[in-house]
Amino acid sequence: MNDTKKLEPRSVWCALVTAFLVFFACTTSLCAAVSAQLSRTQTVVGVPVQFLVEVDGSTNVVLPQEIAVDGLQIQRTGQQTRVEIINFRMKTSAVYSFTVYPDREGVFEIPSIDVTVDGKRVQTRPVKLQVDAGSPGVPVQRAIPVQPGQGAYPPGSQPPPVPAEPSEEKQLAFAKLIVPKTEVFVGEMVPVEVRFYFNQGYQFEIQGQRPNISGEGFTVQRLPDPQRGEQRIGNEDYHVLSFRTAITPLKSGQIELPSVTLNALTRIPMSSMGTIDDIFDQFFGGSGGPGMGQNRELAVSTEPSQLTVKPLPKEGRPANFSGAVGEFTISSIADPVKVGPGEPVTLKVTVVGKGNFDAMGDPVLVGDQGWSSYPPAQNFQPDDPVGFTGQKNFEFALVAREPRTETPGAEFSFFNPESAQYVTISASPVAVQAAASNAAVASATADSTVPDAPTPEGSDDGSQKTAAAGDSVGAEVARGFSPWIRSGAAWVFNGIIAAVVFAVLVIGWMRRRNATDAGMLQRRKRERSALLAHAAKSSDDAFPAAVVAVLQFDAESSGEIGAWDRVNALQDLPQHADAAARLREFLFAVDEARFSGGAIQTKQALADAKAEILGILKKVCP
Amino acid sequence: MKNWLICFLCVTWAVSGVGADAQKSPAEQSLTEVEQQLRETGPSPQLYYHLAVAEESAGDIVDAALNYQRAIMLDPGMRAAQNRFAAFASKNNIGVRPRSWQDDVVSVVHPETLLFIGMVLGWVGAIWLAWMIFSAPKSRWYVAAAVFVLLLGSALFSMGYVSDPRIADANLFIISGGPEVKVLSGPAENSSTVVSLNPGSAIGVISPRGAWTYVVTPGGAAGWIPSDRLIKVIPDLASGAVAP
Repeated sequence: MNDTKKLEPRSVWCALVTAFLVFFACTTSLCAAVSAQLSRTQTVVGVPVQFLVEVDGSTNVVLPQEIAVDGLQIQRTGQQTRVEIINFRMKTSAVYSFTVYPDREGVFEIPSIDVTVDGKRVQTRPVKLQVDAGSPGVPVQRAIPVQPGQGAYPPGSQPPPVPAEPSEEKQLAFAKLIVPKTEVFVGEMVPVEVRFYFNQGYQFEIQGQRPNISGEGFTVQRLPDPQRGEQRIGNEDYHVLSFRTAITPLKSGQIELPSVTLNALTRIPMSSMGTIDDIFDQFFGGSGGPGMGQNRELAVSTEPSQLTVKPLPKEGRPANFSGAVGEFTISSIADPVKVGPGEPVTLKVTVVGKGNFDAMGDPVLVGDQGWSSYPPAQNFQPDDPVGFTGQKNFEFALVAREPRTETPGAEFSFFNPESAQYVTISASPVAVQAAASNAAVASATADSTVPDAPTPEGSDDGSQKTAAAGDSVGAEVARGFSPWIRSGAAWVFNGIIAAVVFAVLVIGWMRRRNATDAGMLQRRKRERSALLAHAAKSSDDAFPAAVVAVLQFDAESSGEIGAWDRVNALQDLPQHADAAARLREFLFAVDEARFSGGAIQTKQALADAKAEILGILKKVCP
Repeated sequence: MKNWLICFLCVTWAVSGVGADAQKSPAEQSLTEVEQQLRETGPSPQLYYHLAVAEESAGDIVDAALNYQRAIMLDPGMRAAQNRFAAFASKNNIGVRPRSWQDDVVSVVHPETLLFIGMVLGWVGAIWLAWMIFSAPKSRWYVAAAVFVLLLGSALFSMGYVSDPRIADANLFIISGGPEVKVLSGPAENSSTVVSLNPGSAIGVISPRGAWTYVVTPGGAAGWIPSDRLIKVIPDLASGAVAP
């Protein structure tokens, strides 16, 4: 007896579903992890730190509102929740923040706290906090989070220093204009940042969209949307609005960056209003709310600053320097790499780096003998919202005047402000196969910025050049706007072909008709021969009827009605006149024998004439 | 006094004539020479392409759009012109005719090639079939082959005919320079605006009616625009207008 039972499909499904539910529960709740940590493990009296409890795997969490520790005031202040789905797996996490205010110095231990996650109690590890006496020396700072791809500063460039001024701790709001360097060159694009700090203890409403940065002697790039962050300065937490852009000095000397202002509306709590006037104003329905505080307009401005602008040196300036200041690299590609006569090759020269792309001139083609080119099409692809870094593409349309195996190279000169030197970079020629075309038109490389730019062939004599080019173009590539199929030649050609088809049809029809007539004739001959053979073999009595049948057949073949008509027709033919007379006599005899009761003499005469009549019938075949 | 007057006239002539040529930029010189070549040699896709590139460099958006269209119309397989025109149209926010299956066909093989091959095959099939009708003995396979060749040739010819942009886009126009053109719901100034188009945008003419023309926009909307804002892509060769 076999004890093993075969699993039913239903049982298998139940097991799978159960396993999935267990897995799902594990990934969502049962596997929830709880951790606790301090933002800093060391502080001073009066300077709070953050106590963070992070719960992974669930958002159904119950935490105490307060944690009792002698010498510390710990209050729950906030919560952040995050849900992610990665590879079909949902991950939830929540961070609960407590603010810890140290009342006195010493080493404190925040004990483990009970955290209820999805109904289950979990305990955190205890953490220690060292509180020192004395004034807060170095302010606590948190960097402004920068989203990937949003930073105004490219990799390698130095970010501006983070401000740290304890004297501003108690301010409602203030602003800073951060310029990474104070000495720059004319045309050098300088990234600048304007930061507006708003005390988190107050409510602010920003008036207007963005500040206006303008001044004399420099240009400003487009001001992108601000980045938002938080920063602690001294004992105060601030909301930070950061506007990042870039300025480009246009002239040498001292230029002043004027103050940048952002207007905001804030609400001052009652406790902050100390004067009698304010109290009366509040009481009598002033600008403040009913017993809550007063709205106040703020103009948050930066301090003006100075920038020393140095002129670009004249020594070592390349002939093809076109005003680019920064750091760049160059590369080039060609497409297509194999072209026929007159077909253009697009040489795409790409300049990548950081600097004043707006003022950048075109790269210069070198070694372009045998090529015709045009001023390139340009497009700029910024890597940051300001346009300080990125790549600029220059697309040259090239047409070979001579057979060429490589494109021209490209050179580009710029001034590097870091090394204070001019730099010339070049892109190597690209291998191509370009057939020659005399149709290459006048080259725009006759630009004065290209010292050795070749002129088109025969450019000394414009008429000769144009005529030669025109011949070649007309012979090789010229196509009209009227399709060939609509031209007169096409009509003639198709007419001839149509006539040929018609002729084929006519010839075929005629051949078939002729073939049909001949076949009928043959068939009739065979039938007449059969009738004659039948007549020859017939008895004497049947012979007259057989003769009449032959004559009747001949009459039908000739379009006549009966045997007598056939005989009459033969009568009209001189060569058959005698035969017709004899046939007439025979037919009279046949009628006589038929209508006279069949006289024996007549029948005998007809029988005697059998051989003669058969001979006549063979001769008078139509 | 008379000598002074002659000197003045000579200087004026030199400055206004010879001097003007000498002061032309390289792009303007290229434009002039390409236009001259076009007039002398007739329409050529390469020359129209060169002309469009030079006009784009010179900032002449409408003429550049017109000549890119002409270059592509004459040689639909000219990839350089297609790529450059696409970038140019995108950069300048110019409406272009939506791409269709005919464009895919003619980008592979020129429509005239299709027309010629289709025509030859069609006629060969027709002659063959006509001969087969009256010939004896008849082979069923030969008749089928003749019919197939005839149908194949007819199909290729038809495809080439409907794909040839010179035929299919015979009513293609572009918006001339100036302010943007409003496509109106009726042939009157006070009609409601259907859509606005930038100069250089392609537009299909359905029915010209005097001062107003009923058109269809690249987006498929139909409406009326003033006839004097339209430039036909296919130039009037009878008047010698190969170049704008």
